[in-house]
Amino acid sequence: MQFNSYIFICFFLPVMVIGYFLGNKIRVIAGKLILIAGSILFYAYFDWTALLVVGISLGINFFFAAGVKKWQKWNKLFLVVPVIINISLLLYFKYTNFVITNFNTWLDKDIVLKQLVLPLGISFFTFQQIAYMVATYKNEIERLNIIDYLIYILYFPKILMGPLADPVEFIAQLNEPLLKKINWDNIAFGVRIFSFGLFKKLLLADTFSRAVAWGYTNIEKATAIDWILIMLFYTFEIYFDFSGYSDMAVGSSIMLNITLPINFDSPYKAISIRDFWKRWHMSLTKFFTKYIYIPLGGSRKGEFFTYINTMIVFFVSGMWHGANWTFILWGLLHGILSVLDRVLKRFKIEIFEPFSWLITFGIVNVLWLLFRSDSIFQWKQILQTIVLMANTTISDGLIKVFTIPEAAFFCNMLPFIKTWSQLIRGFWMTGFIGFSLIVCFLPENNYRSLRRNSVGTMVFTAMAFIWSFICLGGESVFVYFNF
Amino acid sequence: MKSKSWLAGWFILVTVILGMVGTWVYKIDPFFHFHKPYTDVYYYNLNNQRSQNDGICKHFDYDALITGTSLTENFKTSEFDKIFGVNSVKVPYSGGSYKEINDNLVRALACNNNLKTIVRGLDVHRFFDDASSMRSDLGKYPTYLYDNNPFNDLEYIFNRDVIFDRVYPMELANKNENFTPGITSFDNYSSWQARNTYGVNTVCPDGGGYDGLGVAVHLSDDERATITENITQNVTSLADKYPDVDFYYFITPFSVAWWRNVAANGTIYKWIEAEQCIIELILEHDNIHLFSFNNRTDITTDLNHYKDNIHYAQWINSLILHWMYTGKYLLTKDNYLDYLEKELDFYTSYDYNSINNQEDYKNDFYAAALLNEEFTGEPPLRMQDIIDKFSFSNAQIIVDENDGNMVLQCLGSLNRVSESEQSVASYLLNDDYIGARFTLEDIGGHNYCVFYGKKISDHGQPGVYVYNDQNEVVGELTENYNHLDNEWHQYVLDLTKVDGRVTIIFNGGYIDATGSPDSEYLFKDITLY
Repeated sequence: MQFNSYIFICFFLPVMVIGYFLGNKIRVIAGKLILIAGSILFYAYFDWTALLVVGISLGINFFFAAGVKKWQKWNKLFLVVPVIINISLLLYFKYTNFVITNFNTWLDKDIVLKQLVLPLGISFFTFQQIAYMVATYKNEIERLNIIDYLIYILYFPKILMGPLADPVEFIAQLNEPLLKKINWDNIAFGVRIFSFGLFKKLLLADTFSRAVAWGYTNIEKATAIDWILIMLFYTFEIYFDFSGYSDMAVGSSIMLNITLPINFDSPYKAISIRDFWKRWHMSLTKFFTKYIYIPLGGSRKGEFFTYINTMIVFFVSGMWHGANWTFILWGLLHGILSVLDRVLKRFKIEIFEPFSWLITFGIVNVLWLLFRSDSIFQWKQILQTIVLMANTTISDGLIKVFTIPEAAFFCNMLPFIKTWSQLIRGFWMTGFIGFSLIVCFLPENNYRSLRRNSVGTMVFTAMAFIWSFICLGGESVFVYFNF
Repeated sequence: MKSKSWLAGWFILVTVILGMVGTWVYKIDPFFHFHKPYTDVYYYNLNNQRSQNDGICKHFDYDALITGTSLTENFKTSEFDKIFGVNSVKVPYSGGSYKEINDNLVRALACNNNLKTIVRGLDVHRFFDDASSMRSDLGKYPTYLYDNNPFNDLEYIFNRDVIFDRVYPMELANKNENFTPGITSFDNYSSWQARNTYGVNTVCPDGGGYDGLGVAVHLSDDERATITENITQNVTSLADKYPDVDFYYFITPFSVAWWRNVAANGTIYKWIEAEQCIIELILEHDNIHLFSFNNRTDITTDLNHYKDNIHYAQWINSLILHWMYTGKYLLTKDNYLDYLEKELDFYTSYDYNSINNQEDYKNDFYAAALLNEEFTGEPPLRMQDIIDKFSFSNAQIIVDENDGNMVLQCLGSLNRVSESEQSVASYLLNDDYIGARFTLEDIGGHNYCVFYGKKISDHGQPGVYVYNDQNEVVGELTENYNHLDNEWHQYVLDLTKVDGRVTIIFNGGYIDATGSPDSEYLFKDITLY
């Protein structure tokens, strides 16, 4: 089930919130069982067979977690085996066809690709399993409880796309008696966060997504300026999409009195690549730091190994993001730039902050373009178009993407918009860019600013929700090639 | 502000605004999901088959229906109504599978007890589809419109495109002074006739060779089983369920260019075996009247009737209605084997290389004109047959030196004042013309006026106007003299929507007094088809 769906908003979420607190009134275990049942329904809404892999993963991990507790002597073995199994499962589903494709390409073979259906959220729940195993091994989780474990892994707000939560903190919240009663402050806050997340996803990310899709279906036709814009649009798209999703996850969860970690903290305000990673997908950065960087020695083994460890983390990060050389190169380039950042710090080379921000934002943009491209060659081709600047017009097709269905309505309601939209070419596109820049760079983080109740936030939240809600549906248009 | 008050305020705002929006969509209902259209208040555009056909079937008043794929989109319900004496709707599905079309028919028959006549095309190229095949490759089906679940109607009533691209513009248009409410006519709904050109240069622009029949490929048992399941489930099952409904089904007549491909790769045997299998399955049902026109080889081999290998022009749709009504080309248990044998013989022995030498009519409707007699029963009316009705002005009849035919010679230019406010059509009717004029008390089944024209000198140019009994212009064909060379050109005037008394003026002179008095223009072979 998706957060941005009628069923989730109108039925699932309200029923879960009411059911959970009613369940808690009866017995704590009843509330927890409602969470498990709801999460299973949420996960398997489209395909019940998807439960098979996650079920196997749950069985294996809990068995080994029990082993860690029961056979203390062998606890290291009981940690290593499930970690290997988890990673193997992830590698199998995500990288088998990537390996076969490369094998076929480099060694001129003709091995048939496997028909694999990637289990939903496998990248996330695998990491959560590892986090749980490590916490058990370290005795941070003192007493195993299968109900708490199932909720930690299956919890619907985070199972598909995170944020990655620390098991100890999560389970502590789950068992906190003070959090078992409905909290109207949290409900109101959750509604606000969820509504703005929905708005980011449906109004902003989806519009930019159509513009980016236009670019990649018109690779030859798009001009240099088109590509500069498309690069910026993808930067906006990926941020609004992912942070919008995270907002909806955090918003849904806070209504149940469970606080999930913040995933984004105005990442495009970053003034260096290291700063960027402290603000972007923060729960993943935290995971990699805790479970890869620090175990490798972190920065404790000297300058050289710090750089090596950094590169390893970013290589793994690239791999984790997708099975394509573009992701691996994207990870490595971020790694190299992070190392370079450290080197500059080490030699105390200070860069004028606005300039540093501009460079960082520019690099992030160019690397997002690589992230989005189908191949490194395609990325190179696009960069070449940009650098050569052979055509500096903006294509009508790209501009047209931004003419939203509401355009006529706004023009009739506010005549100055009608005048401007007739005078300025790309008026709606400019509007989207301007609005997105404001959202990215001006306000304080939502998690801090939206805590307050006021008439203003009530009206804004209602408008954001209503507008986003009607964007859930679109008219089905069939494409028929003959005409 | 307390959180409870905040939430109450938020909830009231959301509920009230969404409630108003939902009510608005429900009231106008551009997809006819809830009720009949208010065609006396709003103008409804029919332009989304997958979203609107279901509502049309559920809520419109009709007793007959045309359905199928793009090969049925050019049918005119006005013709269907006239020929069959019914009140019909057209609900085609571009690229639709047998299942999709059947699913819609199931809903239509369940909703409308008056539905007694169904015309449906059976596309040859979908013969081998699975019984469950749907065209999800073409787009996402708005399934929330097809069921009776009120909860998923949220997707319709709170739908951004429906609200801002349909309902809002309809409401705005309604407030315009010159607004006329209504709905797109079913004749025009989905019709692609006007958007395309026809003939060999369009169908096979690069020609195409043929090196003889390919190695024969035959129908396998698995394919036969697939066909049987598909036809039983999606074609014949409804006929059993509704024995009092007449199903007029036809196998879509593909062009010789399509037959060339299947002959070249040897699958022609498989296609005809599949066709036989389908015919045998269908002929078991008495209320299905199955037709095939593949042996009208004068049509299938003339690419002037096609825009590509399979899509035929609208005049073929007209003929199909006529043939179905008269029972021509009806397949029966007695004749189908003979039909299949002739079909196989013809298409396996045809000289496909001759396709490339076909004449591509400059005016596509000429092909229609040549078939008009078969459609309407009205023989062509030639110039020489009605010459006694002609009145001449600044013109005379001369004889063509080459073929001895009559030629209308037009000399000079009109005396109309340059940039006069009086239209050329009005001037020709009320003042003067350079050419000929004649009146027919009833145009009858004549649907096309075909003629040849040639500029001889200076400002000679053709201007042909057709007036009804109210002296309104109902047909017009003009050409700028600058665009003319000194060759004969064929012209076709489409008069399919013209009835009753008509006056036709052939004017070959320049439109006003600025034209040279020495201008000359010739018309010949004027024929009403």
